[in-house]
Amino acid sequence: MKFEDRPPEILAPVNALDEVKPLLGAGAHWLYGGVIPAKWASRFPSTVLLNQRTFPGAQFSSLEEIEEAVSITRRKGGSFALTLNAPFYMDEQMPMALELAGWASDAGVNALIVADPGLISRLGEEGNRLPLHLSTMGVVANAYSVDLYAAMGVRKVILPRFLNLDQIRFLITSSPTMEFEAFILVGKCPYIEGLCTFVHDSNDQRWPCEWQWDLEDEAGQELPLSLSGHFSGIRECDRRDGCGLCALPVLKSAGIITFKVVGRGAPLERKLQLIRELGKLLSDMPSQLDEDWIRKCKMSYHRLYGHDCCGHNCYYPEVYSSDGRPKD
Amino acid sequence: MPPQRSNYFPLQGSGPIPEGWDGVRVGSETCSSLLPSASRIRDLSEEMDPRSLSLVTSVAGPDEIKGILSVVSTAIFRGWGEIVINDWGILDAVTGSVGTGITAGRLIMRFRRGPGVFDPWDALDSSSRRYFAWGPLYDSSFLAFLKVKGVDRIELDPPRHWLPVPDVNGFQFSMHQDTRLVSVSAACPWLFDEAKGTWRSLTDCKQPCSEQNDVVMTSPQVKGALLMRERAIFEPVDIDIDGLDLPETVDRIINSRSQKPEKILRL
Repeated sequence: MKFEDRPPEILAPVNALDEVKPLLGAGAHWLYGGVIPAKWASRFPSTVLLNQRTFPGAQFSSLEEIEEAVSITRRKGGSFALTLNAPFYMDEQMPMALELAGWASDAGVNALIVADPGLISRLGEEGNRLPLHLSTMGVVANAYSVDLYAAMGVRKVILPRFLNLDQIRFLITSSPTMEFEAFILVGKCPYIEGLCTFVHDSNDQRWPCEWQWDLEDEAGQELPLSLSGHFSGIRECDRRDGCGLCALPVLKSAGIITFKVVGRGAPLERKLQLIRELGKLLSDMPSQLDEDWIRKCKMSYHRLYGHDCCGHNCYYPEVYSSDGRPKD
Repeated sequence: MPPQRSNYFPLQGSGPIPEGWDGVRVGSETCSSLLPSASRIRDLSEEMDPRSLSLVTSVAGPDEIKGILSVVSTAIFRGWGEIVINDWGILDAVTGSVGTGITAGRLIMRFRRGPGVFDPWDALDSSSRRYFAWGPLYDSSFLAFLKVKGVDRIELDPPRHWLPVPDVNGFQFSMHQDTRLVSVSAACPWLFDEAKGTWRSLTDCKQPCSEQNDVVMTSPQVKGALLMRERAIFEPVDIDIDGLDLPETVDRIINSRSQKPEKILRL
């Protein structure tokens, strides 16, 4: 079946066993989650990454718990992707990453989310049989990058957040044999996540990219409005309220199959709300943008986040023309 | 006797290369709009020794990569000394090129440096310290991958807490002496349209960033300041390169500030 003919799928974050059934029941097709095995946790602090989450609440508590979560997911007809998406693994860490990948295969995990070309190479050498999904940490932004990773065994690319709709369409057209996944709700990062070294280590989970930064021209000149607007927008629009709902028809017609909801570590009720709202819109999606659709999406946004949407946390602001109407 | 190291700086305008410098860098690590045109590549090749020229390339969007590769091909054809790669697709496309050095830039290397809220250095064991100092250089599978792709040089910047550069076979190293790369903005901050609350298209870019000074970013939560330049955030580095015990494989020093000839200081 061609990608564009396949029904859309929702990828939902999961970090505890008791979340699995409700998430699948709410309409998630794929779950993604991670775990820090005791062997790793005893050697490294949480900022030394096995996967791209630094706080314990975002992880399953044990291999046994995640194994049971995988088993239930499969019994219920869903699929489970394990996050192994640190940007690199030092030689002393690589055996543990490979061991976890081997465990995942035995446990029935459906795919590994990866980012380190070193790990991907090693998985190939070790005879890994699990499909590889390239994390947004891999920053694949063009067809040549897709080809590079396809040759290494990657089957699905999670698009980096900075690509606009035209670029996404262009990329998918240029890489017809690769499957793509796009972010759609929560977590609109102001920086390119795969190229960012800000350490997410604060207890309040407000990261450096969100802080109030005082800005000053090095030579004391007045700052351009554009730059002040950029930074004030980052502060004023919570990146957790990220949304690309309006663009769903465009993304679907471009060939996106899987729509990703961010939020490992968020409360279950919140995840359910997001998935239900997304599922409702996906089931009632027009083939192209119109004003009625945009109105529906804006109402969904308001229900989810309790305020109107904002350019800074809009995943695909190019959906709108300058008068706020959907583009043709 | 200290090892011979060559010194590079980012060129604005034209040559010749001033006394005290061995080469120039043209282009940008973080923004494709700041890459030179093929005709500028040709002009520079006439003005200077092409072996002293480095073309620095950025991440390439799907609609940009062919144009960037055309510029890269021109530089390779003209015998430039080095192409600095910061995109996997460009890396794949230049693999197998002969005569021009292929360098893995800082965005390919993905050193994990921070800053964050805490600086846990004192509490880290030696393994975690290596991770934050030079982690990717201890990922031999990744280095083997780079080697297969034809990379012969790697760009480094100084870690927040200095540890000796590990002994890695098969690569030469270039060290940025005055900045640590922190992050790259998803959308160009210089093209934000405050009136409309969104960004102007990059295709409209008239390089407003190149007219601006660095913007100093400070926060009570972070010791020291960061700098916004182009669409990237850097941390200024104050380190005495000559005072460090660098291995001979670190044979190139990069000054990240564009230098007009009258402002150039010898290292």
